[in-house]
Amino acid sequence: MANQRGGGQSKEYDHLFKLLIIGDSGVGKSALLLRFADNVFSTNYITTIGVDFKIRTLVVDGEKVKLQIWDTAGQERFRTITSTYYRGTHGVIIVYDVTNGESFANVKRWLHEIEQNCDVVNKVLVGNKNDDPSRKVVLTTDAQRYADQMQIKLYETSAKDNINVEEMFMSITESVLHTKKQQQRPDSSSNIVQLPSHPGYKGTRNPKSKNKCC
Amino acid sequence: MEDEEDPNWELALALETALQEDEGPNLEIVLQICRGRRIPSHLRAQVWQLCLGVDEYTAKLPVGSDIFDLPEQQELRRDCQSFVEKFGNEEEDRVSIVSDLESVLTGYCKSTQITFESGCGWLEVLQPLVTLKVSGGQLYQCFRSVLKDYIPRDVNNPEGLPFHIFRLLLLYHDPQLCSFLDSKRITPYLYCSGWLRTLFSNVCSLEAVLALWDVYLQFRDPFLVFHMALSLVLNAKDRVMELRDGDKSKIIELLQSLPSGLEPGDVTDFIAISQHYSTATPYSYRRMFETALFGSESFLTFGNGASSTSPSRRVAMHSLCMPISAYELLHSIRSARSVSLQLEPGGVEDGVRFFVVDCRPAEQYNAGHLPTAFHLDCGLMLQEPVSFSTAVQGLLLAQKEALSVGSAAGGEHLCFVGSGREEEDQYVHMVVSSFLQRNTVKVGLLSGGYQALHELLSPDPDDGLTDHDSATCLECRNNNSSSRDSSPAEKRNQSKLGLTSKSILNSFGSTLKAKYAQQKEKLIEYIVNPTGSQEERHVKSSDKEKSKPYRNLASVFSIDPSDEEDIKSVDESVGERVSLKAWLKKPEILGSFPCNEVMATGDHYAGYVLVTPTEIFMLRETDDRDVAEVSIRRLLSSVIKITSKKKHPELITFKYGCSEGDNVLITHCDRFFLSTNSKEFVALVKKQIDTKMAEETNP
Repeated sequence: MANQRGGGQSKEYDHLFKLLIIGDSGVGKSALLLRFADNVFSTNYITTIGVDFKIRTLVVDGEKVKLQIWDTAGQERFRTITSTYYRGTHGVIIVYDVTNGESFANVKRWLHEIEQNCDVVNKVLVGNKNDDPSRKVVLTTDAQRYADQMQIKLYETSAKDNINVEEMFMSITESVLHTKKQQQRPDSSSNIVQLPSHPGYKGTRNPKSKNKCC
Repeated sequence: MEDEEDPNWELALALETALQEDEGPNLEIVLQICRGRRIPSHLRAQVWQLCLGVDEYTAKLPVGSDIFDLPEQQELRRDCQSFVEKFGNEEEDRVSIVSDLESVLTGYCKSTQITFESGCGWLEVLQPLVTLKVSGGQLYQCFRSVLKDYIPRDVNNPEGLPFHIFRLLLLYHDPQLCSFLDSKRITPYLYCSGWLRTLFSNVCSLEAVLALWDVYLQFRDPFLVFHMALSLVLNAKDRVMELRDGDKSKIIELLQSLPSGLEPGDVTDFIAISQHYSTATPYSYRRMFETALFGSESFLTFGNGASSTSPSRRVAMHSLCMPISAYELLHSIRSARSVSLQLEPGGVEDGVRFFVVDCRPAEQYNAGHLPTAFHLDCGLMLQEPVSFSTAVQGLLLAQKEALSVGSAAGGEHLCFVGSGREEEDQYVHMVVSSFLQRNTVKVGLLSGGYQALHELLSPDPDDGLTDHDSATCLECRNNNSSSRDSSPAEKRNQSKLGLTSKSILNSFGSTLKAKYAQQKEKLIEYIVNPTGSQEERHVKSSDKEKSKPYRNLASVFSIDPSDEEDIKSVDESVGERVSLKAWLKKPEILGSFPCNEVMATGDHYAGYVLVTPTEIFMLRETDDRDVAEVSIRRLLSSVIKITSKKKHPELITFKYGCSEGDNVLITHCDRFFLSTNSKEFVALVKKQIDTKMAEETNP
């Protein structure tokens, strides 16, 4: 990023976005990132310590978008550290494992964590390891219903077989870019660069929290 | 059953003499005679009791109760019987041993009010003690003493503190093996809980256990068992890795059985190796966790619930790597310096030596740092990965060089230094993660960061730091502004806060517009030129005056409109450690309520929430009873919403931010759990907000 100062060469990108990958331990967050950034897959699973990141530049509608993608450890023990990475994030990728019902059930918790740590953010829900129908336990219809309810896009991917990975990253990048452009539009009457679906969205998501007491 | 007589007559004779002193045996003299050797079996009972602090007086104390009427008495008796059957004694002996065991355990359960559970390891602990053939009272006292001083608390809990500590030790000495076991989801509990709760008496032969305890009790170091476990696991690394593709149960089986082959003759070597690991590990973790692990009976609890909020467990669980205390780091640097100044390369040093890597932003580093600290710009990792890896190579080279010339900066152990503020330290954590992912051994992180170091050195930080400039040093500035005297800094701060509260309550429209116009300007600037506001890296010390305070710099990646808010509401005092008593007595505190701060993750921290006429504070309890950490400080004027669920009125959610017309911008959220007085707390806060509002609208 110091390219500007460094040699004054032309800009290597038009937009820089920070994405965050979250989800239970072992659902394949690092594998998705490795597939997307380096196009490799390793069957040898090693848990992520703390955090890691990769960079890849995409071209969307003729514009260069540099993505800085943060891969967080899913293990509970790293939760305090990883929760600091939500700040300044433009998009969050929430991953579950289609062969592991618990990881899908925990998506709710992860969404809650997003809500706690950032205000506006684009999200995408990803069911990974979608390459062996015999082991699949989270049905597409169930996941889709939940995604619709939460107003998030759903992708079922396989980092192993390289299914839908590129599409998923492309989709979240496009939404992030779209949001940014909307915010930049001069005709947005309010000065508040802010929540597209606000303020009702918190209420619709969790009607109970409306119980005001003051 | 007895081990072979040690042919060392000299030792036996000297010991016999020392133990027969008229004044009673002296522990130090006995230890000097034994010098970590095995004890002749006819003297074992006396030496062990001496080491365990069991004397004639304590042994005569009542054993509790000989009335066997515990609710779990049946189970307890059955366990004693089946345990003794394994010994193969004569029928008559068996009955008397069973009754001895049952009496000790029943008395223990009664006096500590802990419920006996099968498999808790107590019988295994008693086994070597029974061979001492001492009186019932002595047996009872020995047993109590071993449990209290040598068996870690919480050891029957799969999520217990001992296993988090063991994992940190393993990570420190072999990140690769630790990460492999983590990936296989093999927690230390699965293989070493038995070792820790019985001091290896669950797997080793009785002969080996007696020999082991002979030496172990002489060391009087309760942490040695961790290092023994560590040396076993590290030693088995190759065999563990061979099972990489196999089932995890095979690996657990292998690990569990590691000590089973131990012979009495191996004990000396085994303990020597364990001692080596013990001295090659920073000692901070001992100080941090010793009182939580040893020396009390109250926490030998079972199950999950007991101490789920224990602060030490949280520290051990959430540490990215081995925590190093500011005290140990400073001490080590000072002793390294004095050794190198006196040109005594072979000088005796206690503790390990560190190579210090300061990861704070350049301008903070330039405003003061440890004299031997190497600066590594963590931002580089993200911004210029190539330069960063060059910098890391340079760092490792510098470390090697410093070591080879015996410089004071040299040290095998890496100690990373962050600011101590979680939000700022995310790059530091990232860099430490990357070192660990690359299997770098001996990686530690300064606990509490530079902040803790600075605090430890105050009131004279210049003494231990280089280039320290109190005008630009963030810690000095923070300290000034949070001191209670109305220093100029304080006044500035207050006026700043006053301004904020007024602007929000009174003239929302105009200030907000101005603010967001500013924000937008900034935002565009970042997008057009994301490096625009970054400082020069590797600032020369002559440039110091030019460097700007860190706080006024928004993060490069942030286009989050709440930035401006953060700067104001994250006050300097957050993260500060304060005296709980003094704070509760402060005159401006209108009310204080015991509560738990509930995090988004579901974690919660016990402490107090305090209300002043203008602010809410959360003081988290720490390990030290009178020290609390300020974790939340919010202006009442920024409260947008206070909510609670009907079903759970004790859980209260505060949302903060600002509003304009129908638009509400929530920037922060806190949750408090008050088991009592939640209504009073909310009423007090509401009253203060109303008063404030009334004041502002009718000046």
